[in-house]
Amino acid sequence: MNTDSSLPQSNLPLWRRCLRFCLGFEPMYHAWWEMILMRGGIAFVAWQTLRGHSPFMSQPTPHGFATWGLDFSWIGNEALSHYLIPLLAICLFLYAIGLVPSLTLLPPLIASIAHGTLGNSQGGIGHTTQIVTAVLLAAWLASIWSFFCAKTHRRLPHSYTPAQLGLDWSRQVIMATYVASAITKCIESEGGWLSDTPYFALQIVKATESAYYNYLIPADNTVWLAQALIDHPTLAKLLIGAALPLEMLAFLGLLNRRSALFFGLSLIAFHSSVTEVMNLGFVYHKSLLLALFVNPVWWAVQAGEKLKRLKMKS
Amino acid sequence: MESFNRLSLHMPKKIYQWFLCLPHKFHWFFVVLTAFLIPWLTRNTLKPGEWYPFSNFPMYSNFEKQAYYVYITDKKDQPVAMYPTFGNWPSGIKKMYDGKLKITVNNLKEKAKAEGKTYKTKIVNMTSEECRPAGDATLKQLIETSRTPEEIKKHEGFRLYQVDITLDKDGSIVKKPKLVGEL
Repeated sequence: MNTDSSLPQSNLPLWRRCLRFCLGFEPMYHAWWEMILMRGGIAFVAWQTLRGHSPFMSQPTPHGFATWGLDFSWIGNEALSHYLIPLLAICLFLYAIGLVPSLTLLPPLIASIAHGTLGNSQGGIGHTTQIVTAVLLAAWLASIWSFFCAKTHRRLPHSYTPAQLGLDWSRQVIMATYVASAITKCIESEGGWLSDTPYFALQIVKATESAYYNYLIPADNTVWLAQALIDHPTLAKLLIGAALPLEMLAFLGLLNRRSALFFGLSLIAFHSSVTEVMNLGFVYHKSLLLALFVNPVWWAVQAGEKLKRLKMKS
Repeated sequence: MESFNRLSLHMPKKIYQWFLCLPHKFHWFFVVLTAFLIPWLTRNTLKPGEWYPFSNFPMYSNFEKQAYYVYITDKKDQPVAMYPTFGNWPSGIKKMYDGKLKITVNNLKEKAKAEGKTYKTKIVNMTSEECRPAGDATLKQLIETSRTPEEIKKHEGFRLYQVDITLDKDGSIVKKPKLVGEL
């Protein structure tokens, strides 16, 4: 997948040039301001999940690390949260400006794991904040790996700086969640996922009705869509089935800035359609995709510079 | 044949070389960890594949011909706003109930086995009485762990309903509620 620079671009056939443009591997080296924006995006999303104490106070059905006897109920302690939340805010701010992530990311990472584990120890498994914890974990592991490489005089992959590696691993872990989800779909359905997609209609009804009982406010009525999917199974296969290749091929979004933009926007569109139909937010997924893949400020700066060059030429 | 042998000899080396060139090793490590290793390590738990913060993300991985949701009412059968009352979303309460229902089904299977029978009833076909231990246990846990006891005290008691969603013979979506818990 590495770019073969020995051949001049113009000597290559058109299809190979197109392929290289879309899928050629070009490590993403970020400028300092870009990295502050991206880390700021991660810190902001993490802050949304950590700015309050957990609504739970006990672990009736221990999950994950709680099954090893670890007690995470402290994250639901209101008195402790008066000290813990300002500490987390300071840590996330220091991480955003790039100060010693191996230390500043540790308290938010532990708090994020505690929140998720305590929430999942109530008897049901939720996946809302999982992506945020995974990104914090990846960024922290990257900082530890960078430290280890510096001590052992090893080069970081693609000659990244430690800060660039942190963002690269954060992107890698996001796309890994989509690829793992696609693999699970294939395994759990024993290959019949696509043929069973019309039954997704029942999930739409379930989600719409459940949303009403949150606050007894009627949710958008999408029952007509559910019945349409049952009545037109081919339509269901086309509409819902598109999610599987998008998730399965999500790793291609790591190759270069253009593929990152394409997969970032496609996955945001996918999540937005699920939000409309199923009343499921996916706010953290969409925010992280926007910050780390779509990266709109970088594209705006590129467009500005191109315009400037065109003006100078003319 | 000779070229085939040469290829099979070189294949492991080629795969290793290809792995070394793979640009996103951390990504693939995380994919293998969450999609294969964690599910295998947690295969004997109630939720295989789940170990926060790792998950194989099994949501909507298998569409069945039936689904269900739950809601809670007061003793007069008036629906209760679930998040303000219990501090948990309907989807969370449904998952909580679902976990307890699986334990109930296992108990029914063991009881049937002891009697020399087999228990194969699907969740949608289970009677209210069969679901009752799971429903009662869910309400008990919600009441005991609520952060807002003042909201709980506003009501004399609660009822948990399971609404089964299926398709009838004409392909129309049908919803059938049944009482599965009362405290």
